[in-house]
Amino acid sequence: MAGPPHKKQRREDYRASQREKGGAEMPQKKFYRQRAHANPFSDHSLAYPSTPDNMDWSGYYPEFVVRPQEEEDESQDEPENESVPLDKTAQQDTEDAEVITKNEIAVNPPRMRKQVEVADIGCGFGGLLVALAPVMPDKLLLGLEIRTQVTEYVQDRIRALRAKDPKGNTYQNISCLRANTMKFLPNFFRKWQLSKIFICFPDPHFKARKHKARIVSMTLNSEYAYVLRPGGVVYTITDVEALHEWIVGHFDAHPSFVRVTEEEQEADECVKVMRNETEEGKKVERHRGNKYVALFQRLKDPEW
Amino acid sequence: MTGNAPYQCIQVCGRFLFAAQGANIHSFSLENGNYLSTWKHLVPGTTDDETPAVDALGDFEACAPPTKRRKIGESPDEQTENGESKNSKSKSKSKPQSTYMIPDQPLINLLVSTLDGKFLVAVTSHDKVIRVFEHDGEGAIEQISQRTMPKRPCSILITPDGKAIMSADKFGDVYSLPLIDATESTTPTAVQSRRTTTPTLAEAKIAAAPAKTDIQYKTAATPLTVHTARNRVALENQMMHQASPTQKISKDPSILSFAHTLLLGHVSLLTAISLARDSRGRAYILSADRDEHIRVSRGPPQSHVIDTFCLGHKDFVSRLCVPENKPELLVSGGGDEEIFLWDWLNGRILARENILRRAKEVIPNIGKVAVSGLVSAFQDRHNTTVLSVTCEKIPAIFIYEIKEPCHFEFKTTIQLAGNPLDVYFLPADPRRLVVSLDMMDCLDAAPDVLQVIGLTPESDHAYPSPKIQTNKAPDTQTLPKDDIRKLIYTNEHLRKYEGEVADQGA
Repeated sequence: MAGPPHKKQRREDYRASQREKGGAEMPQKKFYRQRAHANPFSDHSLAYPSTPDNMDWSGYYPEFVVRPQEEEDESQDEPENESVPLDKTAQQDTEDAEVITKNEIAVNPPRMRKQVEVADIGCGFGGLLVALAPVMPDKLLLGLEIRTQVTEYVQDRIRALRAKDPKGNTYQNISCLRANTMKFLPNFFRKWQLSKIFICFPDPHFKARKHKARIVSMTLNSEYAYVLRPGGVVYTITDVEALHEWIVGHFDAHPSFVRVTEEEQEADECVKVMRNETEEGKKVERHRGNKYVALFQRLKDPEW
Repeated sequence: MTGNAPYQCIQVCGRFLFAAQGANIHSFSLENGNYLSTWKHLVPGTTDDETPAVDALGDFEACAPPTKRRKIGESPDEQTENGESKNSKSKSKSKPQSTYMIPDQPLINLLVSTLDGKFLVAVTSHDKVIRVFEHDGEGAIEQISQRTMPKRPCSILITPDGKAIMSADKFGDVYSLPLIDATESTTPTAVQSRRTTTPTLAEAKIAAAPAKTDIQYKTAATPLTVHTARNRVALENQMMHQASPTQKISKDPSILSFAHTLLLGHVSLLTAISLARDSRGRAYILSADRDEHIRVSRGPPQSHVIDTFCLGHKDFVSRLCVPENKPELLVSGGGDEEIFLWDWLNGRILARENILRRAKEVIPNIGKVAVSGLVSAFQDRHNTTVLSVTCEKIPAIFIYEIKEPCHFEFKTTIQLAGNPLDVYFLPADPRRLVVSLDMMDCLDAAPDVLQVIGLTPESDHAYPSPKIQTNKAPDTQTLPKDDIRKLIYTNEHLRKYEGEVADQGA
């Protein structure tokens, strides 16, 4: 639980005062610390949509909600089709599913101009998201984190960053939500929706008995391949050599992925950001640890 | 128990009915209802065919890593029967906790057969063993192999060609094993050489963790990767331990001594798997889990490709059913009020049907249902697809027809004298079905715990059904009623936040 009562009280007081200030002040990490491990097999009390069609993104990316007047224009230009090349069948699926959503499920989330295209799985305190926001200004980035306190920190941090720049559109393209991605990734993302997945400094789960809890495994890689479009890339970084070997071994062995060559890897701007801007990356830097990077490209599915 | 011990699962092979009671399998003739024979599960220790499992256990205890610790004993409120009456107690608890515990008793929880009825496969849940039996064609079976899985199988099937078993387990993994384990061997070298010949997902997994059995345990952490003082101390201890010559080689329990392939996996408890073919004849694996997902993966050898998900359930999924004459459809049911009809290839919901409403007609004061059985049959004479739906602890069978264009049409409710445990349409005459009943509360000396009943009163009269002579079968069940109930009613416990739901219902 949250520790001694005075600690909980201090946190509540802090949140209340933050709210009074309108959330424009950068949050302090010390009020959001949480044990670094979460059990991915436990139920928690998670909120997640039953299908991606039922997901309401409007609160996460308010600047990207389709406004009523735009909705009429949209039938002509459909801007999101350029940035989101869904395959024909997938598009057919979503259209059909929407009909069902409207008919049978009362939930009808506001339409969005863009879909989330980049996911940071286990985003921690959100360093990577904040650093990537200006690198990919035209894409929606989402951090997914299983720890409530940490998720709140990232949300408050993004709120503060947005508030600092009320006119501009900076940091409108990043957001964070609480999720157990090992279980519920397909509840948030459609088939082939993502172009990049970041897995940065994941929990190493050193014990052999805990290896099933690792975020990379043969069977989970199939789910990453499902949400990632052909040509999309999984970015991984860790400071634990044994885990790096595990990650490389499992992605190499998975028929849907191929490792990106070192030249291409070093040329990728996201790799530089991932190395130097993540909170954990900075920490490893301070301890003069090693950082092991590996990128994997999703291949096309074989003929069937 | 005398005379009225329940049969938790049944399987029809042509003229024969196999029914599992506890850890034993009885067989009956469906022509005249006569009792034929029994396969008895031998108690571990009395024979030597259990030794591999015992050995393995001993090994784990002797060296790292330690096996999972399990709570033993009973807590007062694990009684599933009076869960409702304990509401006041669970309310006072800050956190809903799962108090359900399975008594560690031998029990066959899954029983399937090949299409030709020559082989039967049974799973004993307590020891995670998959047993294959050969059927002599006259109702007697003989065990030909037993294989211990890494985790408890929750759903199994035999592929239509009768060559492989697919097993979905509690840890979310689906394995494929050859039905006839011709190359059974326990020497690790033989196993490894066989593995290299068939590179598959599982083999790849082993390749990824290079030769775990051969190398000494090595700490994965280094002084560079641990930062807190406590972890540093732990690491130092580990390294000291590693340096000492008495270090034992750790044995990875996930390395199995028989041929197997890991096909796919969920991070959840799997509840049901099914095979289906699309219009072009391509095979797909449908797998359902406790976290509301139904996954559609390609069949082997491309089982790593997920083609779609069937999403829409709000609670656990416990049963899947692909009608044999309409393989493009899928019926799913679980903890939701409704059962779903899917176009599984495109992940689309075609129809829903409220099953709670029907269940309330039988027991008015219930607030939730857990589907425990979905079976379909094709009645070619009427060109209809019938579906039988049963729910846990609801003494009735709900009969539907799956109609064009794709909806459920309710036909009838068959009231039963006890809760149905397993239902099977007679292949020879799909207007009748065999049902196994929980009649433990029945006062009769020998109630009909296995019954053949017609879907309609007419068919019942037209074809008089044999009375299955369960009273002639040896009574092998020794457990008290409550323990049996805990073993056979397992679906409702898949529900999350059990306490909260119960509170709302009360």
